[in-house]
Amino acid sequence: MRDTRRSRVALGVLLGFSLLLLTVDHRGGPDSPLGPVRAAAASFFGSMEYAVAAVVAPVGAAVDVAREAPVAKRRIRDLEEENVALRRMLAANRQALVRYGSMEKLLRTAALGEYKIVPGQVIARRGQPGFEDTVEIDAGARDGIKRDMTVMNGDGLVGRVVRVSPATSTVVLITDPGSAAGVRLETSREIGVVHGLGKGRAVMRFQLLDSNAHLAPGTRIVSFGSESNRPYVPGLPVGVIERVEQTPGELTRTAYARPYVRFSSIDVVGVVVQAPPREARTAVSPGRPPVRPTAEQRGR
Amino acid sequence: MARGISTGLLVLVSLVVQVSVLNRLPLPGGIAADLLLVEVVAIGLCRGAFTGTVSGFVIGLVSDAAPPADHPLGYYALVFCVTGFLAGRSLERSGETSVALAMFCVAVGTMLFPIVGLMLGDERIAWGLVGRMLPLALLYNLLVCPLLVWLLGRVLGRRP
Repeated sequence: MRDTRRSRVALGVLLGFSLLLLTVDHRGGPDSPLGPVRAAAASFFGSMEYAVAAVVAPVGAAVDVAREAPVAKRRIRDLEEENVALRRMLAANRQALVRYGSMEKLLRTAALGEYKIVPGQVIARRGQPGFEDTVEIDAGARDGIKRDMTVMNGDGLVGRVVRVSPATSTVVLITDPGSAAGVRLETSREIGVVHGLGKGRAVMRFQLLDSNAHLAPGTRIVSFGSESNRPYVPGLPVGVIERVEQTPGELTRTAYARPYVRFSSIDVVGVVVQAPPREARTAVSPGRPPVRPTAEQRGR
Repeated sequence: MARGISTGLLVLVSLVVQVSVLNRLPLPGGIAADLLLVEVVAIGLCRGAFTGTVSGFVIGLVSDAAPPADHPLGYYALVFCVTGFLAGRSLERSGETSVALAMFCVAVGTMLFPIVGLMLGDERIAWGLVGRMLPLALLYNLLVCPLLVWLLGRVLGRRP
């Protein structure tokens, strides 16, 4: 009971004291006589709070991060999606730029030879090493492509069309082991044939028909042209002689030529749908033969 | 004596943690638990009305003086003083400490703040604000209550 009275007395005294403090502090306002108390406490706790704040600032940041997590997660997902889209767009743009470059080159080459071409893009390639070397392009019969048309790109001769479907066509490259194309040496106009050696081989075999003709590495070869420009139009760059084999006594001379076209990265090609228009040639005749009376006429 | 010093240290640390850490946590509602109030309740519940009243007053006064503060000195002292007395009295009445008792005292203490503030004519205390803040404050305080009462019980040692 004494304890209760003591605590009641304490409560009363302290309540009174706090009310006194409140009154004094409230009445005093800014010039409160309790100012020094506040100042002392402020400097003591202020420094402590300062130190603790420096230590726990990262904790606050971490909690901030945790609280923002759902929003941030959504944002991250959105940004990631956007990132993927942008990256795809960027890649597409880069690819488009590359294709634009090869397309321009192709058009320039085609214009030089006055070939009329249908552009196409390689969409598939047969990849059996050592065997056939063919590609599928995204241009077909609907685009005016027919079998045995010449396929070129900005660098030179690519191959010929062997199969045409409405929307796509199959092109046998000149590096195909079964392919043979008639060619000329650019300067001496000597005639030869290039055979492909298959995919994965950077060179083609070149056979010069005249074994006595001069043949040196670095000589350029161009397409010879086939009958009615099929399958090969004339004058397209094919490659350059790299190595000449010494084959004494044979009927033909053999060399190895490196194609101009980089077949490993072939993309934009053009199908020559119309060879350069030839100047109209009139038939040249040696004049009318002298009229001789035939036997029957004589006999009459 | 040693227990008194550790309690004082614990209160000091709580005060600094309260203003430097807890109040800055971006918790829902923008408010945080009042560690000191719960500690005053715990002290009262462990040591009786006299100790509860005196420690409540002292802790409140220290809390009043500690920056940042924009209320008249004695506000917290008054509230904590009454809360400490209430906690001590309830211990003396019931004869033993329980978490339910602590929660009751914490709830009363939490509600004492706006009441005293209104009595003092603090114009910041508007009914709408009180109605919005008080439930959350109660919730937070009651959440930390069991932990702090247990902790202070360990520090002070129960005395029936």
